[in-house]
Amino acid sequence: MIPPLLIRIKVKGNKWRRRGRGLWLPIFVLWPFFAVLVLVGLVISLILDVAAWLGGAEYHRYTLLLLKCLGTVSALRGLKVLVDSREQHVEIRLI
Amino acid sequence: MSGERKRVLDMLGEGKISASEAEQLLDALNQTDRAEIAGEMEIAGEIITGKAPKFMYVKVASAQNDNVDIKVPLALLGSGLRLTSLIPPKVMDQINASMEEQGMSFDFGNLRPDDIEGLIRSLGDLEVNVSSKDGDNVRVYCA
Repeated sequence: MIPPLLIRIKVKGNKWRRRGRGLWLPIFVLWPFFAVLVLVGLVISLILDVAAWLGGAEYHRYTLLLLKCLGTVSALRGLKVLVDSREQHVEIRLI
Repeated sequence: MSGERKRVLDMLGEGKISASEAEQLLDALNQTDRAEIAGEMEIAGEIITGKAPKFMYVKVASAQNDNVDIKVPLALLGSGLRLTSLIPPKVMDQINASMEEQGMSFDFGNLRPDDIEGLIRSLGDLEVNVSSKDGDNVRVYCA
């Protein structure tokens, strides 16, 4: 599952009814940075899992938990929130 | 009795095959029948329930032109529910206790992956339509 690539944020106030302000945020640019963080996190969680398993702890699935959290973040792709009132129009999309 | 089974029994009766060979042929026919039935049931199940929905839509339209339109990927719901099975037991106990305090006695630890898949597939039939006398409409559905 591919994580979100872009965030589209659009805000239109009453006086900007025709145009509004739109913003495209390229999240994919931050992927290398997040990849490094994830790798570090995976190494730490693996060490924790091994230590917990050797220590006889009941729970030793931190690595799997971290991977599932990443899967949940990836599942955010396609989320759309649109709030349209008389005063303002706000639109957020994760693409 | 199917035609193939009768033919196997006839060959056994005529001595063309041995009893063990007849047994093997009948077992093979049984497996083929089971696979065909399972395939037909799977197709029937898809026809009845349809393909799994991909998004949950929440649309609110008020008479004062205040509208809300939310589209949530159901993969997020499924992924979140599957995540609950990996939460450490002590943390899960605290979550369950907090939920029970709020009046929701539900143990997320009892959710199995099959249950989650079935739940998401069933959401395809979900549709909630609420209309108020003031002209406000709320619609929740999955597609």
